[in-house]
Amino acid sequence: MPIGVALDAGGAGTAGEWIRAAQPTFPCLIDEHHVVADLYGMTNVPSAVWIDERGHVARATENCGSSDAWRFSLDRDTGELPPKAAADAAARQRVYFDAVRDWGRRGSKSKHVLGSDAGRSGPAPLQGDEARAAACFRLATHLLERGSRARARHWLREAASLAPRSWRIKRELWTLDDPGNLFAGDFWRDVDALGDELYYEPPAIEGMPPQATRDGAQLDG
Amino acid sequence: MNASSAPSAARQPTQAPLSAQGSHGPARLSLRGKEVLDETTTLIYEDRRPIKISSGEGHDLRIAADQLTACTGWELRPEGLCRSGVCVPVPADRAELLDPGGATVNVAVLAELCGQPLVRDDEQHVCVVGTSSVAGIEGAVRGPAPDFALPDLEGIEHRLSDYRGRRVLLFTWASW
Repeated sequence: MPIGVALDAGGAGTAGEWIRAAQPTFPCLIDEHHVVADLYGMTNVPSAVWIDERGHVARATENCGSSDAWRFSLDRDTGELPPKAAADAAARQRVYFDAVRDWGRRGSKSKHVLGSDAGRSGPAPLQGDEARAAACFRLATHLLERGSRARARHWLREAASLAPRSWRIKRELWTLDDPGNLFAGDFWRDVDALGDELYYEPPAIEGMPPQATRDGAQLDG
Repeated sequence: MNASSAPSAARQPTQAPLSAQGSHGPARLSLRGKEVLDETTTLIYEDRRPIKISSGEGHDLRIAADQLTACTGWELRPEGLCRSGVCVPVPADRAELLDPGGATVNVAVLAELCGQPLVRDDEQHVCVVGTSSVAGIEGAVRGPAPDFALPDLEGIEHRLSDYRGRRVLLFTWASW
């Protein structure tokens, strides 16, 4: 069964309209403090983890078939993907969700259940700067609840600087004063600064198309 | 599958913030025989709900010793601070951790002993003690998929462990 978790510092105020519109038939929870992200080592959305009947991890945290193709082909004015890039994204998601369905049917016999310690191990606990960033983020969300936006912004900045690879933290910071803008703040600056680093680490699933590259001209049309 | 399969015991509305010292403002503490009125600080300890505590002199964060386990999960035993089968050694004299009368525990010292980040907003008098590096050891003792409790849009709380016995695709998304 799916369990959705909205990583939204705005809580029901920002996630609610999406949940009401989607009318999910499964639990859709609201995580304004990003507790699940901290527990499962998620730095961006969408991310997913498979948990078996015994409550153990069957596949560790990974993205759900997203790729970096949009970085190179998205129209930054309209937010639209060219048809080939959109088809590539749909194909990746199909492969991912076929794997999920296979696991749903076959359980531990599914070839997608990872047998290695790395693939099935529980998430590593936060350490050092990442642990401190999580504490700063929790302070920020509490201050947001109290209406102290200026102090919340200060602690979000602190969290983002301590955990620069955490897109969920910086996107919460950037959208704090520009809600609803997917590309608010320094989004494109930081995306462009990625260079050859991936925004979405591709999930290792048989049949998943190769990852797009910066010169992925075939995705432009 | 829908949410109605969750056990009824877990389906309670999210509770309001708790107070470690009642709802009547800052507590009076007896420190070194002298009664002082401390400032009130909101303490958020790991994933627990915010509580009001008395902040002592300097950067002390004191909670009543008999509230230690309720507020933090840690228990002070002869062998040290213990939680979920894991114990952290405490210096023999314990003077920094406990006040001389033994009535209060300094959470700032507790955090340092347990390897927890501590961040505080001095303007708003809020302090967060983050997850302990010891939590990884505790997690290994409990099992690899960490449990959590979160509300749905109606404010009904769900725990991951409510769904034990099912295969769960736990996925995240966001409005941003």
